[in-house]
Amino acid sequence: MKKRIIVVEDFNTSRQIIKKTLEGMGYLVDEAADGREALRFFNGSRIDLVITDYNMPFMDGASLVEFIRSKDEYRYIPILVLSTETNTEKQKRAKEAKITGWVKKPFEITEFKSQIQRILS
Amino acid sequence: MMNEFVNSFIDEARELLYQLESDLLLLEKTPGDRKITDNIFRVMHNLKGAARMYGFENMQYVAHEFESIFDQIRAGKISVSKELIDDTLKARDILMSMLDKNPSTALNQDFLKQLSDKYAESQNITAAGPVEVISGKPSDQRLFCILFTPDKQVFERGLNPDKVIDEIQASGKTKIIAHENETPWEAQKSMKFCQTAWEIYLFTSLTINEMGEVFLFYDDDEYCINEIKEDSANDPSMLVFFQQHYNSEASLTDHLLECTRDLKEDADISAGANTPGVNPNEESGGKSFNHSKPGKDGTINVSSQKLDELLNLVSELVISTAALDAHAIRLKDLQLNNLIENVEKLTKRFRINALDLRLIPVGTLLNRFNRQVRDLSEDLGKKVLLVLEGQETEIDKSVLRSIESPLMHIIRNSIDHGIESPQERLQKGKTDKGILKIAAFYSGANVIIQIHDDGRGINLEKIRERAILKGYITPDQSVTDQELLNLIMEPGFTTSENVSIVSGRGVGMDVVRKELNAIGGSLIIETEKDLGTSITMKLPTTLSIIDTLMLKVNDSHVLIPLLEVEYCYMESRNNLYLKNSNYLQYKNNMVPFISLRQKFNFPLHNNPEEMVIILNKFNTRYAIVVDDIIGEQQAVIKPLGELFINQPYFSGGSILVDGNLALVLDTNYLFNQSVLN
Repeated sequence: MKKRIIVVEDFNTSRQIIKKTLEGMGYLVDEAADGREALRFFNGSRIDLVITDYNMPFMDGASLVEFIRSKDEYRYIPILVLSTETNTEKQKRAKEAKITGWVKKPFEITEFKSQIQRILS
Repeated sequence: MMNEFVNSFIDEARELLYQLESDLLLLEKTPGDRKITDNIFRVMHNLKGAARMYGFENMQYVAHEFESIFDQIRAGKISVSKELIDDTLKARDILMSMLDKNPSTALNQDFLKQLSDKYAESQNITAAGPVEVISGKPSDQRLFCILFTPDKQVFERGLNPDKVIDEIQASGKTKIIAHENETPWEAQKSMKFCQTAWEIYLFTSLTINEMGEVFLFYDDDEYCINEIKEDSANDPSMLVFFQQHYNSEASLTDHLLECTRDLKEDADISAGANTPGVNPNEESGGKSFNHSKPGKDGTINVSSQKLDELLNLVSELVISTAALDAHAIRLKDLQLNNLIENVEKLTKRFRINALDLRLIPVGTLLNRFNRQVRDLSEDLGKKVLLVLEGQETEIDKSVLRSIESPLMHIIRNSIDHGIESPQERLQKGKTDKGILKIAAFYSGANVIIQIHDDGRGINLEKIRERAILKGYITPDQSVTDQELLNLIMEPGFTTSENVSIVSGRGVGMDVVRKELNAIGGSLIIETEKDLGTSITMKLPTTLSIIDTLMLKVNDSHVLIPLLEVEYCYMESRNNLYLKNSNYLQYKNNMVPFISLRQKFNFPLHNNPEEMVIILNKFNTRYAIVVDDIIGEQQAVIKPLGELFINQPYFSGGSILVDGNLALVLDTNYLFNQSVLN
């Protein structure tokens, strides 16, 4: 069964690139342009990973993460947050934010792939 | 395997570059605009990453320079100047050409060098390029101790420590000791509460950095990797861990020796069995790719033939549904009618969807002219303000594509020959900046694109002279201005060497007309001395479905676009024609009206009442008078055959549910007739 990934990003090109990369890796991808649009996916269906931007209109990444973690079915699913920079300082914040980690944007394809595989393998 | 996405990357990158171009031009006008600067930076950032992914290696270097420049602007270290815009526009063009030709387009190192020198501080990463890291050789295998103490709430971050353990196990020879602390690890997992700490000994060819990758999603204080050396027993992190998890008095040194003994011996024996250099991650990556089904990406390319076929089928469906409806009403079967209503709704959505597939906003093309206008006017020493209107007007993509070069011709002519030099304009009492306006709007079943400049206009006298010279007309022949202007579009009437004679117009206008005719469009030129020139392109949608209002005139059916209808009412004929004027009063305004019966020379009918339909075009009202209004009609408009080509009143036809024909009134032509004349 294919793993299902939700990609939430308001910048269309980035979203498409992520989507295509993931689909190329054999995953099932659902996309949304902001947090609000993404809510509909959390309807009890199986989700293996969420990749989301932080700054988005209507509903930002932080609120989306809060929402996901409040749902019993999704409390423990991995969430990656897109960020233009990554550093260890941020990884520390990941712990507080209850997210799995940060994805550098724009990403290096190999790095991104191994990140994803690391989570979904 | 990325190949199937390359085309879509190219499409997207191209859009981004067009966007970038207009952003740069906008930034030139508002140099301090933070939002634009951020946006450009973001676009470049994205492009850089994507370009590398899709094998456009050289693009990433240019994009990198670009990004650095804008990073500096963001940081306030350099400011936006005209020169900077020039340079970045040039860089943008380079990116575009790399995209257009092929990924390996030679990199103009000089230009890049120049850029990075000029906008210093942008560090010289250009030359660095991608660095391949080659995994260590077999002989480089070393012994490590990894201490892994995940946070108790690690599960709430969507992480599973098992994965880390698995991955470490896959990267070499391991000995793993799990300190579960009271509850078994499996139970901890189901409780989603992690109390376990791991002590892992690993004999591997990986470097510390590479192993750190495994802990990508873990915080620094959750893991620690030490190479086992003679003095490892004195390492503080090791000592702390040891004291925490072993109550024994045994020395750490002994413990380490014992844990690593088997490992080392094993490793020595089976060194050949270990296959270094093959990264387990890559291997599993390869596997998942094998399962992937290509072509499942967001966009697909469909031949326009197939789309045409689809549209044709949809239009047949629309007609059939309407016929079905008409028939069902007579049967008075409630259930049937409900079902048909549903089908109608679906058909309507289907229709909108199918149409949308082909339509794109005119703005996607018009925006690109910002750059051309800027560069051209600069080259020609003129000041031009480009005003775009109705960019949201949607048009068939293939039509839009085929008008690109005609539009370019017209714009070039306008700037080169229409708009005067700043000095000349000032002498004439105009502002020094010429205005070039491109407006797009719907007109019935057509889309109109109007290019207007406020320049010197076309010198009709000179055209007349030339027409006589060339034998198109005789000296004493009287010709209207419009006829003269039409001559410009005759092939061979003007050529480039007599640009000056006709004040420029005519260069390539025959080509423009030819290109427009090829797609079923037409061209009208209007000009006024010193007021400017206006060129109107009337573009067809070869096949389209629009909402119309069906009218009746002398038992014929006439359709008008519903969009233009403002108001309908009944008026007694006496009131209408009593004053013998072609104006009626509507909302305290005098509105010109046209009686279709009169227009088409039908005899007057006996009904004392007439239907008046107030139409609104470009905020100007006019009215048509008809016998009756039948109602709204979703009409599939098809072009009329050659027989009708010479009549100006109807722009298309539509088959009605009963098989009869309704004609689509060209409201644009009527408007010109009633309002402008």
